[in-house]
Amino acid sequence: MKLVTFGCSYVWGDELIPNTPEYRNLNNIGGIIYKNHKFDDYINFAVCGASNERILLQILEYKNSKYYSEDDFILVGLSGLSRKLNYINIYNQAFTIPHWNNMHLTNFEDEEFVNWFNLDKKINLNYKNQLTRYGINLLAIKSAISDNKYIVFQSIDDVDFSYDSVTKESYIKNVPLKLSTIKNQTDLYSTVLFEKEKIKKEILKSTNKNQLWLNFDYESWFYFIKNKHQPNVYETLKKGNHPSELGHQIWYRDFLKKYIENII
Amino acid sequence: MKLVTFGCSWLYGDELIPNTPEYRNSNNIGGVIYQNHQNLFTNYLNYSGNGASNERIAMQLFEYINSEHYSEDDFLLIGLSSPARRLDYINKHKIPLTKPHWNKMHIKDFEKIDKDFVEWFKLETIYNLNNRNEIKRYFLNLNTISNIIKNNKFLVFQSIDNVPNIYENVEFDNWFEMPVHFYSKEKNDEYEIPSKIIFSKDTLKSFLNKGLSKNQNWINFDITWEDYLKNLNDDDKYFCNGRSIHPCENGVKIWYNYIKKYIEDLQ
Repeated sequence: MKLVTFGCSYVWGDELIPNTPEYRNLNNIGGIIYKNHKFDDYINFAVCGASNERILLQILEYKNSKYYSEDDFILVGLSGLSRKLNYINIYNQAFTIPHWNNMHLTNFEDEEFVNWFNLDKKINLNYKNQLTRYGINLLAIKSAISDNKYIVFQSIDDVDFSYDSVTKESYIKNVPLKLSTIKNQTDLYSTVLFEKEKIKKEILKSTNKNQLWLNFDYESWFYFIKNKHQPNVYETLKKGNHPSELGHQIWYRDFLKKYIENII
Repeated sequence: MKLVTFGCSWLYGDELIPNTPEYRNSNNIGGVIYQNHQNLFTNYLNYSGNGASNERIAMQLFEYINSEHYSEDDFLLIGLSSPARRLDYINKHKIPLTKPHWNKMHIKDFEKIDKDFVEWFKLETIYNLNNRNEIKRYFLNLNTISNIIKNNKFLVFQSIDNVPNIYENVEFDNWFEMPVHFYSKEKNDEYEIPSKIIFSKDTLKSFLNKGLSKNQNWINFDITWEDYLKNLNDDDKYFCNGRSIHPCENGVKIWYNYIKKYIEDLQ
């Protein structure tokens, strides 16, 4: 059984120094799990800036590679809900919008492109779009890993806050749907994608005891070490952003370990 | 067992005249199936709506499975919509907006009151409308739909658009693929793969067809309802007003004959 990990910079091990593949993958979360349990190999598909859509691409590549086995144990650290992946015409590239700031715009001198980016933020950045994307991405990830043992957790962001906030958005209407019978027709306004318990129920449907979704019931890795280890926050979060060696160890020791032991 | 249908205007029965719930739902595809198999179905519910994207069809399904109407015994008929269609919740105007044809159909209302919105809509088309984004969205939406319906008997077909054509024409020349990185402990090294697997029709097919039981059929990669009617070369006979937009009563009946075998298999 191999350990195979997927995620964003948290699972990749960003800011661990020295930044060599060997050091990073000895001290990141996958490296720590590998050292503490008996796995035949450890493969890490995580990368900085990944959206949940990009995590799905990581899993698709793994499943279609020579490395795939139904026997493998999969660890997925979900990314920020606002992140999305677009294939961009003219520049002919995939573009991840990580923080909706100007971080990825410095390379673009095309004023029209920068204008599109800013307008997209103004017109399209809200909890409804984020939670719609989150529900749909998670169901696709679930399909992709359904034959394996796995743990899925949230690396960053506050999922509960997003679900709590969406109901406060003063939208005129949710998506109007119609329900017709031969005799009459009624209007419905769809809210299921904004209700955590209903999405959670759908995600948990047909899973087994070795397939755990911890992202709905527990805070993210970021908030876990920030809240639980506040006095030493800069020992556990480098520059307040990414977990240090200690931040990786704490997430394993105080949170993930018991679930991994139960599964393997 | 109830017959429950989901989809866009083609399953709603748009342009069938008179436009009453009773006439429409007696002569749209669900109505025709129900009338021909009353020994099989105890009721007919239709969640379809005009202009629906596949995301919105997923919402129709979410509403159904969380409603008092849901039963694992029901037969679900789903007519997928165009992969180009997309649902966005729009700030400021506080509405959900479905882009049906990526033209100006839904822009007219905004032209005088919100120039930023009109500019964003135009730029979205320039930067973001391509087969790649459509295929990614199609993959995600169909996996969502697949998860929701897996405990029921179902038939899923494509109402409009030519899906194989979208996969055949995905833009590959001079594109930089999304890199997927991986580290192998055994080899102690990192590698980079240009990720293209999502653009293969077979990738999605393998997901949708996995673990299917009897009476669970995805025929969305076969001919679409729209193309099936257009290939008959008699738009006046099979489309409402001969306009090639929505099927008339004849266009519904001939599609029923095409999918009838899947319904008869339920008996």
